[in-house]
Amino acid sequence: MTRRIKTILVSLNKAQFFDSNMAMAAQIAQEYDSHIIGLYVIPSAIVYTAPYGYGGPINYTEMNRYYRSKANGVEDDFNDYVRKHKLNAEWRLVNSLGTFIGDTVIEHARESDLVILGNDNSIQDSVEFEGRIVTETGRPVLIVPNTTRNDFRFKRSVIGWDGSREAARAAFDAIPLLRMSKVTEVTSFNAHKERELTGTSPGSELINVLSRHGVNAEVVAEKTKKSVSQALIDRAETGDLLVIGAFGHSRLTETVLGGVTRKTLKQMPCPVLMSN
Amino acid sequence: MKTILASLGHLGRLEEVLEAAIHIAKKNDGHVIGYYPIPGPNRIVYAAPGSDFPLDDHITRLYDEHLPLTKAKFEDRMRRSGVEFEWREDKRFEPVLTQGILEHGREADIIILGHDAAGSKTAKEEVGFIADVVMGAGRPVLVVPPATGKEFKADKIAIGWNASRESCRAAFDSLPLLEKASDVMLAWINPEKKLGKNEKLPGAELAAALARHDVPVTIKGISNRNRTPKAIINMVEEHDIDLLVIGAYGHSRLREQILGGVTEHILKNLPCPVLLGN
Repeated sequence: MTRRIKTILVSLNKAQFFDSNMAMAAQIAQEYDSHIIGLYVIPSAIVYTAPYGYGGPINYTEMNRYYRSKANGVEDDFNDYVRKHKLNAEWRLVNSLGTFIGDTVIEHARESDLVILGNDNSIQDSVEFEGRIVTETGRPVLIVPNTTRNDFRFKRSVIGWDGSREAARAAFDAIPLLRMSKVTEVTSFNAHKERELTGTSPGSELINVLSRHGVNAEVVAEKTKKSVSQALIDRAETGDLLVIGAFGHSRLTETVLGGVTRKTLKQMPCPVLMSN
Repeated sequence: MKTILASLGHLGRLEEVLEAAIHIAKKNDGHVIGYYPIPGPNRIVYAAPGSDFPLDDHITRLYDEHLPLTKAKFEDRMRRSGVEFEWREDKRFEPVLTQGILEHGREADIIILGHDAAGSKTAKEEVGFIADVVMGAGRPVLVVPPATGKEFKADKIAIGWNASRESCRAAFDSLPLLEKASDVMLAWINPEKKLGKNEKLPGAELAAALARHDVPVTIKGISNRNRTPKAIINMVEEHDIDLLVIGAYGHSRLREQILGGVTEHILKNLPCPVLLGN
C-alpha cells in the first residue's frame, strides 16, 4: 500500500494565515481523503516579577475572554471553510498549561500524519517556534510562507539532499506530497568535492527508491560558489515545495537550529516540508 | 516499504535476515537489497609513522573469504522466493560496518539487521552497533533475533507508546507493516504511574489516526509490577506478539551512542523481532 496522509493537524493560532494554511490542508486532504484537525491553543498567562516588589494584578478573566473570542472567530471561519470544501474535519480548542503554546501543538502533532504551520518571517520568534516544533514532534512539518497565494499545487518539488540522517527523514516523510508533484528534483550542491572517489552522483540511488513509490524524480547536482543555503533557496524559488531535513537540537527550553534550517525559515522561498 | 536493505554484515545470520526481508517484500511488492559490507583493515599504527608496521586486516580477509558463499546463498534464497532483488557489495575504507550501512540505509525504506542470542558475549557490542545504526540512519531499523524455529510474521504487533517523539516516530514509520497486521496493540506500560486514576488512557488520538489508515488497533494499558523493559518483554510473551515496535531513545556523546535503559535492555534480551524508530 502506498503511503498516505490521513490526519492533518493545522495550527490556527496565527489568524492571518488562516486562508493559506487551510488552502494547503484542503489540497492535501482532497488528494488523500484525509481528516483535518484545526487546533487553537489558548496560552496561559505569563507572570512577571518586577524587580522592586509586585508587578501588578493580572486580569486572567479579561485575557481568557480575549483569546476565547479570537478562537470563536477562527472556529466559525474553520467551520465555514470545511463546509464549503466538503472536508472531514474536527475543531480542537485547547488550554495550554504553559506560556509556550508550542508544547501543546507538539503534543497534538505527535498523533497526526502531518502538521501545517504558517510562517511569519518578519518575526524572529516565528522561526524559533517553527524550529522547536520541527525538532520536537518527530512528525513532518509543512510550513506555509506568508503569502496571499491560495493555490499550492505542486508542480516542481526540490529535495535538498546531502545524504544525512535528517535529509533521509525528510525525503521519505515527503513521499505522499511528492507523489502529488509532477517533477521532483533531488538536489545536491558541490558534491563533486566529496564523491570524487566513487564517481557516483549523490541521490542517484534515491531516485530509484522514490520511483518505486510512484514519485517522478530526477537528480540535480549543482556546482556553486554560493553558500549551500543560498543556493538551495535560489533553486527553490522557482519550485512549489522544498523538502529539507531540519538540523537542530533542543537545549532545555531553547532550540539550537542549524544554519540552513534557520536561513530557510527566514527567507521561505516556497512552502517547506521539514523533518528531523 | 518498497526498498528493503538487508544487511548481511552479520555473518551467520543470513537466513533470519532474509526471511524477514522476503516476508516484508512480498507483502509490499518490494525490492530487497542484499548489502554486504567488507570492512577495511584497521589502520591504527602503533609504531612511528612511515615504518612498515603491518596493518591488522584479519577482519577484511574474513569478509573476503565469506563473500562468494554469502552471495551464492543470498541469490539462491532470493531466486526461490521470487522477490525482486539486488546484490550490493561494498568495499569500505574504514574498519567498522556502521558507516556503510548508514550510507546505503538512508536510501531505503527499512533496514534489517541480524542479532546475536540474548546473553551471548557479543550481544553487548552488538547493541552499541545497532544503536549507531538506529540513531544515524533516520530510517526504521528491524532487528531480527536468531532463529527460534518460529517463522517470521507480523500479524500480531505491539507498539510501545508513551507519547514521546521517538515512540511517535516508530509508530508512524511502521505504518506499512501495521496496515497489513491482523491485530495491533497500542500498549502503555504502567499508565497509573503518570496519570491520575480517573484519567483515560492517552493514545486515543493516535489510535484514531492509525485507524484512518485502516490499522486494526486497540489501546491497552499494561500494569505490571516489574520495571518497564521487563514489563514489555513479559507482555510480548504473554500476548504472543510477533513484532514489537518501540522508539529508540538515545543521544550521541562524541563518537559513541548512548542508549536509553529500556531500549538497551530490550535489545540485550530480544524477545521477538523489534522495529526501532528514532
